[in-house]
Amino acid sequence: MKYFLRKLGQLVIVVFAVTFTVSLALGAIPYAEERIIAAKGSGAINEEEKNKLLDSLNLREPTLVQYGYFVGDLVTLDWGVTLNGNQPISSSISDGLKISLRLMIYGQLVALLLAIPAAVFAAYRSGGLFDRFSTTFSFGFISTPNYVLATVLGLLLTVRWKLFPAISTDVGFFEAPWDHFTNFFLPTIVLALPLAGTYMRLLRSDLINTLQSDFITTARAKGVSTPRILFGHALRPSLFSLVTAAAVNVGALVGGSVVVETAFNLNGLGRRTVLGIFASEFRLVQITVVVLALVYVMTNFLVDILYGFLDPRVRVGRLG
Amino acid sequence: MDSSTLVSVSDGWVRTTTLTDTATLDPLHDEPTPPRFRRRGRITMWVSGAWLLFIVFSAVGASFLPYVNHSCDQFENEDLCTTHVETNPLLAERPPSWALFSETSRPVVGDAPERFGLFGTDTNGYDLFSRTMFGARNSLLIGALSISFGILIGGMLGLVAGYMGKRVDKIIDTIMNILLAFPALLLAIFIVGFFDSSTTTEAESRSIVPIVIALVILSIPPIARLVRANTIVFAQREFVLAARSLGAKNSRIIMREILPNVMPAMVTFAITGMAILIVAEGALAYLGLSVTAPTPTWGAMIFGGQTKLETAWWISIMPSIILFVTVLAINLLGDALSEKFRIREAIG
Amino acid sequence: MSTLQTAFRRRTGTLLRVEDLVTHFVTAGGVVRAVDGVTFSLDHGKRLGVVGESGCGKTILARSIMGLLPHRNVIRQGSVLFEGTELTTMSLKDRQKIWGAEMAMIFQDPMTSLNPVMKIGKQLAEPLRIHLGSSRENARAIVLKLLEDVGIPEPEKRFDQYAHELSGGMRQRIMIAMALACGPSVLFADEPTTALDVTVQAQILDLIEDQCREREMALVLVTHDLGVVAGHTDQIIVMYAGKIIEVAPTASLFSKMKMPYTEALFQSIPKLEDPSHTRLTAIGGRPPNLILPPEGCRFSPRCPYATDKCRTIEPELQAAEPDHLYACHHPVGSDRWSEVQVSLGRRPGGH
Repeated sequence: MKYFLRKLGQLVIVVFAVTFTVSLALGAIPYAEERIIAAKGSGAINEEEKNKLLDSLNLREPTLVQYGYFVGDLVTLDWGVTLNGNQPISSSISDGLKISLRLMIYGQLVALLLAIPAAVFAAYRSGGLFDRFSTTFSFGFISTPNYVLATVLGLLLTVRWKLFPAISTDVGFFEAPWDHFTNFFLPTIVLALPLAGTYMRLLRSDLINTLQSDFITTARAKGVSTPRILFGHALRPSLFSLVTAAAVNVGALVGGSVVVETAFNLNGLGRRTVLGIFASEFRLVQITVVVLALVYVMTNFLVDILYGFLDPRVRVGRLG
Repeated sequence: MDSSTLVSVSDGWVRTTTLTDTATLDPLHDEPTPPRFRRRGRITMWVSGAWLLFIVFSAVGASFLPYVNHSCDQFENEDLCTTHVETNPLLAERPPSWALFSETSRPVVGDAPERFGLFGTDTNGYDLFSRTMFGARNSLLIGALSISFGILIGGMLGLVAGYMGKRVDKIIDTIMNILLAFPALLLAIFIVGFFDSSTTTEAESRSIVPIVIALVILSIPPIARLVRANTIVFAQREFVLAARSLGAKNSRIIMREILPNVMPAMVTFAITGMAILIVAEGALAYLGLSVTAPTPTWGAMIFGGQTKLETAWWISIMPSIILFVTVLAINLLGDALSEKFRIREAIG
Repeated sequence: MSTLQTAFRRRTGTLLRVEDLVTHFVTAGGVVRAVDGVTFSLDHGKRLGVVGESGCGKTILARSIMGLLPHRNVIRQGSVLFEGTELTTMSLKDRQKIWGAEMAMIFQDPMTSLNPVMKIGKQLAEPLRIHLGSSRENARAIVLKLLEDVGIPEPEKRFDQYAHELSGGMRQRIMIAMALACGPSVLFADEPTTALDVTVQAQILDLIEDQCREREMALVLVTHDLGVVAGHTDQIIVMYAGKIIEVAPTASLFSKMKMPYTEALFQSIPKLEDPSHTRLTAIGGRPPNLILPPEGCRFSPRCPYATDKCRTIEPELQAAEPDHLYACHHPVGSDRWSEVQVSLGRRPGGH
């Protein structure tokens, strides 16, 4: 319980710091006002509208008051509209989040589905043919930047062989399952392969350590079959690094798959934010960053709780 | 890019946990390592080392090496010829001379060759091989500078946090958590964009300074965490306790007793970290945010060829291959080194 | 054969016959000769002690007999006949049917030998569910009974606990219960008390002995401590550098030991009848290198009685009595032995 409270306290501090920094950052941007006006299209609006716009952003208030307004707006979901096109920021973010979450989940699932069996088998026969083969491959995957992978796969599969559309469109699964698959296949693969390489290496090395433990010998001496030893006895205590990495990636991928989103022209959250920075859509960027930070902090919090499930010793605080 | 940043975070974690793994050395209680595997590891290490040596050598000597094509003739102002690579508009978008299956989409005028050079040429007629070697200069410089500062700052924070513990540790840990809560690439973009707007106007080319700053900030939290974890292990060792009981100052204990022991982990991490940062610079370039032309980086070159994939694939693909091989070599070397340090640690 | 049949069969005659067993490990540093030609047999219900310093190959011997060692980089030879079945050529699947059901093992360190993330009850029920196909409820009932048998209070509560919530002695009791679960005909106990508090050691040994007697189970007790095997075995094997150097019934080993090594081991344990502050004799020198064992008798570099003969010719096992074998050129009681005893200023003869 104390462990739980301590983590919760840390969560609150991080959220506070992030919102505060984000609120302050606006004031630090040079010529912020001018840029906002420019983004709005300075010729198109008159002085009155301009003042109204700037008032709504509270740019001229003292820092602390600005922060107060910012948090107030955040909490009351009064997020405003984008400068360009007057789309509600909330709907822009939720549209982007939908795509990014989808990509993240597909990527993680494919990565884990590739990595876990490969790691288990490689660790079981460590030093063997499959181990060397898969270790080499995972090294290759890890060393491939995703923009390189996107370029190469894009060249081969879309430009040369025209198997997949070069530009992915966000087609819902239920509307058109096949199109959904072809549109998300390449982005998912590009996202998943480097992840799979990382996951496989982490799990493999932890599993090799676990398989040398005494309790594995105990299980063998009991006559437990090999698959059951690997999946029933060895896997769970070996999941720590993998869970940590996968969890950090949940937060990171929601906003961080910018490269993949850009490569395949998917309007995910990350891409929207990058475009937002270029287009001086500061309000959108601010709120997106807060949303992403919340996702990151929440997943980390959940993982801390998951540790307790993975290893009962954490619950009594012997390891924590 | 993000995925690889995380490799290192978790990689560091893994390394620190396996440091004390002596079991692998006891032939009676464990499966011994097959000798064949060891030798193979040494070969990959030599090959990676040789490749990196070649790249570094070419990067440093790009301006005078015979195999790198360079000329400043076209520029009246010496400062402007940042790339030093000869351009010939008559030789634009020529495929590599070995790529007999590819043709240029540009007209072949007079006796100009149909194919050119090892890597082909880009849209402006720059020889891609030479440009890639000049690109190595920027990419490696950005990687090396960023990881050096990252290690310096992150290492210091980690040492202090791990050694002092208690409140100091908590404060530093919280700061790192806050830094990590910002989406990495967005943070980098913001920093680069911020410096951009405050110091330069559009016409000027972007310098490597904002990129290095952004990458340093990204690299600090994982380094600090790794060093902290290692420091905690060593801070409880007998020799540190002995130094402390003799009345040594904290700063002295950290620098003389703990730092040398944390060093191996830091060096290994620095190597892998450099690979990650080179890739990260490429990601920034991919989003149009790195050093601007004519100064090439690998990322910028790959990005530059994106629109030409259909007609001139080599413009993107050739630098991609070099980037991939270099990153792979760095990773393999880092892995081999960590293995070595781990064994030494286990014996010592 | 099914476990039920074994349970009702009359348990007499030879249970286990080990013939010229060899286990060598191929390592980067060379071939480690952990077990180097071991022959012995064990009857139903008998208790055998295997004694030697750490690193003499006794743990590897126990694991080789069961076939628990990994295949890769291991050279094995010889035969292990268990109830007339050859184990060394048996497939892994078939061996897994025997492990835990017919032969069980408990280990040195109960702290690390239990799965830290699996509930005690589930770990105990596992052999029952695998080998006997027990239902969940059935297995639970048997496990609770087992926990009671091995002297664990509040079995119901322990069933849902994790290993880290129990003390070392308690965990070793759990290990014993787990080994007993399917009623094996032989139990290998590998240094079962080494990691435990002195006060708990005797309790655990008594528990193992009681259970062996009750269940007519044979026991192979592997230990470095002559004191442990003294009261709890019928027969003792002394190992040195991967070889058997002396075999004898427990009583005759202690009264008529032949090997200088056994003598040295014996002198290195404290005895009740000694006056207090008697200096214990440590065995000089280092345990042998198993990659390059000494020529001749492997104990010769550390043996006070060693002669040139010992350093060149390896002694064969010979019989002092029909059931007492030893491998030495100058055994305890020989002329050379007395000579050295005198020169050391000790009164030769008798212990």
